[in-house]
Amino acid sequence: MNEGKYSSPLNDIAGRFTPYLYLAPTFIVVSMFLLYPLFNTFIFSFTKWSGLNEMKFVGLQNYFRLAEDPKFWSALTTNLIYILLFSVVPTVLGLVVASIIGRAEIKGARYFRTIFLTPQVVASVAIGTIFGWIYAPSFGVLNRFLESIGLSFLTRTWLGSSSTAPYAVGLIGTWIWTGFCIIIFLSGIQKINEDVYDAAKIDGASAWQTFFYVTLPQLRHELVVVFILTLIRALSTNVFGVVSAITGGAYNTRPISLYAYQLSFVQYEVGYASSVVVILALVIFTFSSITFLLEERGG
Amino acid sequence: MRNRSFVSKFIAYTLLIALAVVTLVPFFVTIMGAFREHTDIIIRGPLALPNEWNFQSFTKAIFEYNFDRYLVNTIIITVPTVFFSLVFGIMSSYALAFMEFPLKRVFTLATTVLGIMIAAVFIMIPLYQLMDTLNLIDTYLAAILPQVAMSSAFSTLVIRSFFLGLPKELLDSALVDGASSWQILWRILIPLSKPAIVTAGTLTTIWTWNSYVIPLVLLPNADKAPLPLGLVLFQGTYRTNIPLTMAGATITALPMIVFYLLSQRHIVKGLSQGAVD
Amino acid sequence: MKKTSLVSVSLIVMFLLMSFTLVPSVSAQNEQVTLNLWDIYNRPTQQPIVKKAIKEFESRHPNVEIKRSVAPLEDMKVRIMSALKSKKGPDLFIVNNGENMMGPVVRGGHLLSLDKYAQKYNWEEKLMSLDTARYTEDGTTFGKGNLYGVPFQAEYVGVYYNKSIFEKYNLSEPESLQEMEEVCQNLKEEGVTPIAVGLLDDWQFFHLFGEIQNSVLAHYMGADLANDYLNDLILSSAEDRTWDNGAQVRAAKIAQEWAEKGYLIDGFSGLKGDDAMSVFAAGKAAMFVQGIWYAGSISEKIDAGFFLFPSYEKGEGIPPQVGGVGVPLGISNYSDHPDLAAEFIDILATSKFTADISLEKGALPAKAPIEQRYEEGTLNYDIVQGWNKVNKVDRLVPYLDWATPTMWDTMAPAGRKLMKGEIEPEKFVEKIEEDYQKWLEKKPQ
Repeated sequence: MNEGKYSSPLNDIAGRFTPYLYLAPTFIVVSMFLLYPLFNTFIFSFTKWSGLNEMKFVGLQNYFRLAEDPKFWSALTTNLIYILLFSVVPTVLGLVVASIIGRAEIKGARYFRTIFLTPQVVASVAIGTIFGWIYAPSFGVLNRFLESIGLSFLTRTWLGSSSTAPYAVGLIGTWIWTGFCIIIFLSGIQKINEDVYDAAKIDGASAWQTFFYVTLPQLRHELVVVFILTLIRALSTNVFGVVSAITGGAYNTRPISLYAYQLSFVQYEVGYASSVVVILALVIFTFSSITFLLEERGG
Repeated sequence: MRNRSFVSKFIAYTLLIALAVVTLVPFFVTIMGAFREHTDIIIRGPLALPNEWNFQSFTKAIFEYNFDRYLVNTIIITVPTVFFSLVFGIMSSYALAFMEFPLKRVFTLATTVLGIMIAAVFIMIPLYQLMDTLNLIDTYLAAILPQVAMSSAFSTLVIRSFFLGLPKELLDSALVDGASSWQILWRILIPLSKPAIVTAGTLTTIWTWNSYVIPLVLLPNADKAPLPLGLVLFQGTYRTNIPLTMAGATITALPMIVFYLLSQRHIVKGLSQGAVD
Repeated sequence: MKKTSLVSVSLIVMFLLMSFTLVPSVSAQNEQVTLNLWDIYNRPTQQPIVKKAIKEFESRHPNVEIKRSVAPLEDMKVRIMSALKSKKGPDLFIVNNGENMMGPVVRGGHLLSLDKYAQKYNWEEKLMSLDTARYTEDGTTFGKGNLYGVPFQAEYVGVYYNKSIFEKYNLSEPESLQEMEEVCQNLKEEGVTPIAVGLLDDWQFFHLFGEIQNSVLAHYMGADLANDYLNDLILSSAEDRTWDNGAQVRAAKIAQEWAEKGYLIDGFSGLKGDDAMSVFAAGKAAMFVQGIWYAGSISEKIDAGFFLFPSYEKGEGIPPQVGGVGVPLGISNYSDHPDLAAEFIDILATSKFTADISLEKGALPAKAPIEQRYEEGTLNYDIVQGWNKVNKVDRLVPYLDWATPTMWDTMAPAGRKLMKGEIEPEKFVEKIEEDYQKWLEKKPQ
């Protein structure tokens, strides 16, 4: 039982295997129902396969093709915009808003929190339709609003041009995820002991200093949650439903995941699509590992 | 001093209300859409109020399109998913946050990021094969198990971060008293972590509630379909029925909003326990 | 203490293992048969027909239950592909025509050839031409060979027009492309939006461009040769045909000019297809070039008429029109009850109620000609008249995006650029030809 670094009084159930026992349920379900199928996808990425006929192994051919596929690279560029608007902007906004309202005694905080959560519960079909109306050219909410405040020169066909559409779609991500970030950060801020703030006050720290030296370090674990999750949504899961519901990928709005989907189920290139998915997984995996490492360092 | 706190409160409220309005506009349009014809939306704009409050779309969705049945199915899928994923997530977070063991980094990634990073649609073909081998196709379990996996991973991510923020000394006194690891988890950590658990629970509930691709493929039996599969029935090829879609989306969303509103009692309680003035 | 905690932990781990052993036993051994049906027929014009067919079938076979499940096409494809990989799935499922779906599914060997049932039930006689549901057995050539699916409805694209707007400005149905442009010009000058179209949905461009293209091709080649040319390109992937010719460029140019001259609704590039339809149905545009699937939604709202897309010059006869059979239903090779499945298809496709309900709701059964039962002056009358006219001269041509598996993804962005004036018509045609050539190289031989 005494293994130096790993010995702990918590290892009481099965000695040094105790941590693994606690991890087992999650690890088993994840391995079985997600990692095992994902491993299959990894295998598919070395094949030429329509998804319906016999698989043919082609080695690394799909990956070479990927490197030269302009559609993949253009999806990647679009995805950078989505990372900014689905992940970075909501994280920053969420942080700012949460730290402003976090310690104020807000009446009806419950209701505000609920409101911030509503974007999560609206089905993507509805989101696609509604934002279609918000960005619509003539009867659109946004254009009408701009006209009404005398900014008619700013009105445009938001979704009908490659220069605005990716941002217009990205802002839907901002709409969905800012509230989520606020909620997570709020729960973190309210956990911070008031004493720390009092001490900062006594030291004469400014609001900015308090934020950077007190609030931010205390929120680093929440930052990890928010950043990893929104990054995954921007690259992989959520972005896909949103974009296919609103533009279907038109005007440079197609992210990598939607491209992979269309390759699989519209163009019947499941083998090739799998290589796209593998690359996507690698990107997410790398970013997340770095995030976790930074979290450790920060501690 | 007074003045200053008044100003900061004023800023806080203004900011909150502005954000709330922006957040609510699309949701408002969704609900109003259930009462309006598509042409009316074009003519009078998406923000106008309905000409009449006709609940026909709702009754039609519920009684003609069996949304009542879908609602029950959704609950059957969601409740066990959330329960097990919270238990699993709490357990794995405990190990990741408070224990040291070899390969911890690998396990951290495997029980968090790896579980949530891939859109379900990309693993459906092998997942179908797996469920077919297990003879689970067309059973609720087929939809529940992958969802438990994703939700456990997400819960682990959230709860782990909360655990990490708790002072390690918390455990010491309990250990001195001779409590077992299991008791420490249930008697000390879980009550303290209510906010994180409720947050993880709420979000996994919402995402399970809206899960589409997994039941689409693994639960093709229409009698067992959850709400999101009902919602797409209003999308004919080339044509979507707007009032019905919006009514369906509202029916799908409302239980979640009520649920969240109620679940926050616990968050508030959990917080006020910690905030000793 | 330690023991109880060990027990609780292992209990939870056990849950997982139990999940796999607690499999519900589905082996009630009696004569009960279940036919699974996966379809996408959820338009208001289709739902009641499928429901009635199921009822009819189940009353003929009390021991058979048909379990139906509906989802949109793209999602249904995900489900079907996942199931077919395990050689599972439903007895009956939809197979969209061409390389969009039927080709790959036939090549995978998942579909049953329906020819013996076609003979038994006499489908060729009772229904319209089913060539677009045919593939050679190896799945290499579309449009001939075995029958792999049977549709129960048909559809085609034409021009809806708002009668009160036409009356107000004293306009009549155009009989040539030039007259069509004159109508647009007049409307434009009166401040009325001539044509509603929403390019955020790619198919709205395909249909509009397809109609213009057909008209131009018929002018240069003659309608019959244009028909053959399009069938060769879209159905047969003919090696000796090319998209890159003067007529195609001319067609692309006309489409582009319409956009430039303001004949299309303002902001068409950022409008959704459904919204474009509603703009027309709200009376805010004079014409709408689309398929008959919108007839119900339109006639609910306004008094609209429908005419065939005009020929290039007056008196050239009817140019080919975009359209054909609806999405067909096929039988899985893994079905244990193909005979029953075929009987269901027969009920669905050839029953009298199929035609009755289709026509009542403003859709067309998969037949030609169709007996006219509407009053003159109604939208549905126009649609049936048009259908019979087109079929009399046999001028239906398939949808452009059936041509190659990547055509959708090529033509959609190229078309949007064309309509926004970002590329020349020549470049547009070049891109389509390039896609076609790539397909000729790699298509299964």
